[in-house]
Amino acid sequence: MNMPADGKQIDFREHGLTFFGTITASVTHELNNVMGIIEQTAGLLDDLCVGVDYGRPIEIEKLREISGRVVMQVDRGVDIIKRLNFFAHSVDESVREFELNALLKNLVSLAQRFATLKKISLEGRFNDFEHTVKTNPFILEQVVFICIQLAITPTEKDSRVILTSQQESTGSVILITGPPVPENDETKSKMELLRALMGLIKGDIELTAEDDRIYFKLTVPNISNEE
Amino acid sequence: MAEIRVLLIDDEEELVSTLVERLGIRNIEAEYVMTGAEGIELLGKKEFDAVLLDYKLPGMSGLEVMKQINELYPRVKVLLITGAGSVDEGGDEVPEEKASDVLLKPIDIEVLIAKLREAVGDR
Repeated sequence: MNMPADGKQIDFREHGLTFFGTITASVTHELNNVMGIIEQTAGLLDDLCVGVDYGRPIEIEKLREISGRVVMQVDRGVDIIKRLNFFAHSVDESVREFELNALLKNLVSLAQRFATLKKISLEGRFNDFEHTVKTNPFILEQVVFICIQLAITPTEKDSRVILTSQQESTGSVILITGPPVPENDETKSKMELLRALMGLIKGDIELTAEDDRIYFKLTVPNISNEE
Repeated sequence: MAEIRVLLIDDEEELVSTLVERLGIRNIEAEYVMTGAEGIELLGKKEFDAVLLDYKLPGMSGLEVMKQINELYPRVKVLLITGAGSVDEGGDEVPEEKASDVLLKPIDIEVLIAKLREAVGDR
């Protein structure tokens, strides 16, 4: 538990579980779609086989096309499982050293469905060099995901949400930019939670607005296992 | 002439294109679009008996699309499809009185056809 200035208690364990559940529900929804496509494709193959019994031959090209569809969905399923597995391992140790861009790329992939449902383009632009950071990966994932949730607000204007990262003297910096965030109680409570979570990893969060865009700047210092 | 004309609205193209093919084999005329806006536009141009509508759609949600279809084309029966649990995920209740039926993914083609016949026969 944590006690912020307004006296309300924040249950980090509960927030962590909610976040884990949100991601797992989304991933399993995607997997369910993959299974549904494979099931329908197998059904189509079966329909074509029944047609053969009635004298309608199956063309080899059609079989190749169907087999290609199955392979494509299996590849998609494997990719989804890898993403979930990577995410699930972020709770293995409370503090560890990891490659920041790999974690961010995975999170962008996991958050893609949430952005798509709001018709917003979510993009990670990361440089190639290794960018290691020592902190709590699960808390960092929660922070970045909440920023993405706030940024994927449908708007008539520029609705791209872009994530980048860079190294600064104060630590690793993650920048998230997107359309303006609505000023309401939900935003207020998410900002409170973001500040409290960043406090847990000794980091800093800044939110600025400029030219109809918002900019989240997350500074993530290296922390030791005792912190 | 086809027994039933159905429009599928779902952004999972591989899923709906395969369903369209399988329904066609069973003499059910089917077409698909991937957004609610395209679906409402197509309903204004072509006659359909039923719409098979995904609950989770990009942009306009399945529930919003269903509301518009019920208002603009009350003759057209709407069957909602959803992944298990995604109704809770959205925090909304599916108003069953507005949908002819709610089907869970993965969809059994024979169950789908039975539900379509039942819905269209109800008109």
